[in-house]
Amino acid sequence: MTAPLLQLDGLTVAFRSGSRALARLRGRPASSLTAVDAVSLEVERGASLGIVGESGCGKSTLAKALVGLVPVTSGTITFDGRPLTGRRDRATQRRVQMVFQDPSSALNPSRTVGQTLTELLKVHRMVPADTIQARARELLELVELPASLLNAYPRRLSGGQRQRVGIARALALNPEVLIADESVAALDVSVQASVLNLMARLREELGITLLFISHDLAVVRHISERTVVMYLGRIVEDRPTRDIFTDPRHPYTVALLRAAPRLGTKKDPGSAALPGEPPAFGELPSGCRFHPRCPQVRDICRTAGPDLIGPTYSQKAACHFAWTARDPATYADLSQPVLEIGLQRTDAATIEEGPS
Amino acid sequence: MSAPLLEVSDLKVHLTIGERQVTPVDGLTLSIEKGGALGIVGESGSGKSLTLRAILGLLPPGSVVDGTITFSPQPGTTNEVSADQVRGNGVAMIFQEPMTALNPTMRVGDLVAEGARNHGALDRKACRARAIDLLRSVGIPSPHERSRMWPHELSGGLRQRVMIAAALSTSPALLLCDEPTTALDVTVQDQILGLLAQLRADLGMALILVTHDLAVVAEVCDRIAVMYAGRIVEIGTTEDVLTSPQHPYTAALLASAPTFNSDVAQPLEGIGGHPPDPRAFPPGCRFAPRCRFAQDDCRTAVHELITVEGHGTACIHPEVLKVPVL
Amino acid sequence: MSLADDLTTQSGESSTEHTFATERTRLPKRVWVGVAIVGVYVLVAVFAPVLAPYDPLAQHLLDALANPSSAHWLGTDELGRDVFSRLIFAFRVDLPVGVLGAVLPAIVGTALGAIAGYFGGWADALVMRTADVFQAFPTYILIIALVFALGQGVVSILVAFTLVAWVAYARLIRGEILRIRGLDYVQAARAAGLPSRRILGLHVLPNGIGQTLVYLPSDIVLATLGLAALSFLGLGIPLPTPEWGAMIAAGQPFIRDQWWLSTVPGLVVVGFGLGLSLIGEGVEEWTQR
Repeated sequence: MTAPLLQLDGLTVAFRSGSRALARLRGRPASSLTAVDAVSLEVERGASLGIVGESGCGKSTLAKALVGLVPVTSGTITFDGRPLTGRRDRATQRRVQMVFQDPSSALNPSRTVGQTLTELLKVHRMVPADTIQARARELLELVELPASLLNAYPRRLSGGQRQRVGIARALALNPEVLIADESVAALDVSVQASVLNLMARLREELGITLLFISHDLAVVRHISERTVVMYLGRIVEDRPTRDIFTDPRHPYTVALLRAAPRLGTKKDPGSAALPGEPPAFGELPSGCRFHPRCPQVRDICRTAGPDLIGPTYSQKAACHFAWTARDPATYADLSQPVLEIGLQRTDAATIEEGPS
Repeated sequence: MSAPLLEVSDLKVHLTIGERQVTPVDGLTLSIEKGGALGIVGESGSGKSLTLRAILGLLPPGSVVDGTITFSPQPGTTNEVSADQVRGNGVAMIFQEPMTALNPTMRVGDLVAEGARNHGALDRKACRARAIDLLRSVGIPSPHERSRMWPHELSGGLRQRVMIAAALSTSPALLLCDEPTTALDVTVQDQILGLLAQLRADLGMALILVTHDLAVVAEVCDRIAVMYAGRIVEIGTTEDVLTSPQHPYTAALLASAPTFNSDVAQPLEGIGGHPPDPRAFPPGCRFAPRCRFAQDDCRTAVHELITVEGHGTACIHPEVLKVPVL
Repeated sequence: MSLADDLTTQSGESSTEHTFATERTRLPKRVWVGVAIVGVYVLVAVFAPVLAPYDPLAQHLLDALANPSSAHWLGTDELGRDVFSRLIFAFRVDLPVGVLGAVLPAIVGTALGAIAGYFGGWADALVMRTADVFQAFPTYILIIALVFALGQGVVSILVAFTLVAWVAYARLIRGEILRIRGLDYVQAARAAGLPSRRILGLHVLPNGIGQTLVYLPSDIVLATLGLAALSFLGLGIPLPTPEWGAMIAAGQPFIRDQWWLSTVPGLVVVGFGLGLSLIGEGVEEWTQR
């Protein structure tokens, strides 16, 4: 088995609120917020990993730590066999890139699309100076945008177009890992579909490793082969996507799946029945962090935090009772279709296509 | 059959942008029964949010509204009403961003009591008690303590509940919801949708839910209206619209949305192009430029909803969808 | 599914998108009116020797305080100098000092505020606390004290203005940079490994400078008025160089009979202020596009 491309070991990212010096004067440790708490994860080269969780789970901070935008408090990131720290030289910085969520703030409004792309090509000397324009055009082509957009300012583009330019920008540096942080959340459904298809295609053609962060479970199911579920800074489940959706093992995952609106399967509003909300960061629960809201809580959950373990290397969950025997049909209803959504087209050839 | 609770006829909203007049809501007709739940689905630029605001008169200055709105909360009376009469008087609204929709300088209890105070002549003490009752009824724990808190001290889910409580304080027969759960986490969204469904059952309140999320609408509403470029292109029961769409746009939307059983090996089918700018709507069927089934007469078609057994479509060639037209 | 026709609808209406975009980038008309006014002022300053009929310093004592006539369009002042010529030559003093009196603080303040806002930490604390100190003094007292200490003259005045006015610019740009710093495109630039000074100079500043550009024209007016006030107090440009404020001050004792000696320079200052305000308002409108 080849070494994984990306390996996180006990990665912790904590933010200090307030000045450390002042806190020392007061004789108290400065209050801190641990956004990512001892996360361990392995990503194979060329894999497509989905990271799901709700606000405050730390998924965005994890992404920023991987790209080098926030400093790592403790733990290590190993990239291609070598440690990856906050201080990276330019060549290393290139290799992990990110596509951001908000198309309206993801591009510099005072620079044209062409300027944004060529700047990166120039500073990193990606291609010889006389081929920079051509390469910028190629990048736009890669994301299925017309070359005429090189002279356009972001305000002239639609959300979907801006998002694609964001992808082109990330690809300009030929990264090996592409992190998409809620990259399709702000897009209309129809546009989201095209951008997702684009990402899947690019992954195939360029062999990029894709980390797809989203709160939308149906989207994650579609695009990632493996999925990781995060809660309050920790990974609670780490398994192949197919398994998570048919046989979830952590109660939080179950709640997420029950709560997610999903076309065509039986869903009564309020059926997840997950009470309350995640606690504020200052008041982390003892033992298993999910225990105050867990429908299956037992005594041990209040005192002992469960490890992220499982029967095989690729199946892990952080619950004391994750791997107890269970009827395989328990969660079948999550994906059981009760309505056949959309057209039932069995023979595409019988559809009349008008002039287009 | 009794008169519907709310009937909107040929609603148009005219805005002036720069020197141009645009009509982002262009001839909308819909109705909702007492206790019913209608979902309005559309993407950006469809005019769905403006439609809701037009019903309550919450439009930017300089807007002109055409068409009629008839609101009949009591059986036997039919009133053509203006927006001012309806606001706070049987119709209430909740918004998408609880952060900005709640006045940050008012305590939660006061926010909720506002409606009660304006609605009936209750004294201060009674209003406060009613406010706490309302907070409890929307599932806010420790309502007495919470009523003293400020909006920014609450989480998104709690704020949304406060907004619902404030809306309920006027005892509305109809609740308009503008993307109420879009900004919320999945589990919180589930709670809020559950609350709305429960309130509908307990209070017999009708709902109009505007959203871009088909799955949310499928969960809560019994009828769906699909909007595109300022018009309703399809309307019918949830089951009918989702299982046998009669408009290519609806069909395309359904094909773009991943579900828990979609085949991951198949790429999703997006819709090429983007919705038309309200300043330059194409002639005839506004979806024709992006429709893979467009024919010549589509570009000169007059917009009209043809309804067969409660399922209406504006497409003049629904047969291309090869599903039996009901 | 072909996605390349995102820009055009299937009927090829890409031109409509184009016209809407360019519409919004044109500057509002009032900017051009303001520019025209200021332009006239600049031309007067440049062509002063041509436009002024007399030497502004030449005294004709026998002809002092003459009424306006065909020989002296605005009469003469108490030392017999042609008022009109002095007014024209004053353009050469007030315009540069007024403009520099705002631009120099803008440059210093923006630079310091940008560093404070972008890098935070010690730099921020240092700059902002220094700003607090400077701001604690009443503006004019500080200016007067500085001019007193440095002696009269253009240089002293500009130094004084810079030391006092930089604070506003620093705070202005710092606020904008704090906002922009968190935006995704700045994060993207950092993620792409672009050097900090490049990000600050090419990505952050151009987007944050809008408010500063709106404030600048008003500040030029303030600087010009500040100069006039200093002259009024006798601390401005030393005599006999003509300067609008000095002329207003000098005409004060004669306000009853030779009212034009103070009034006309005053109106000239107002005109300058009007032109600049139009530019400022127009730029503000444009940044809201």
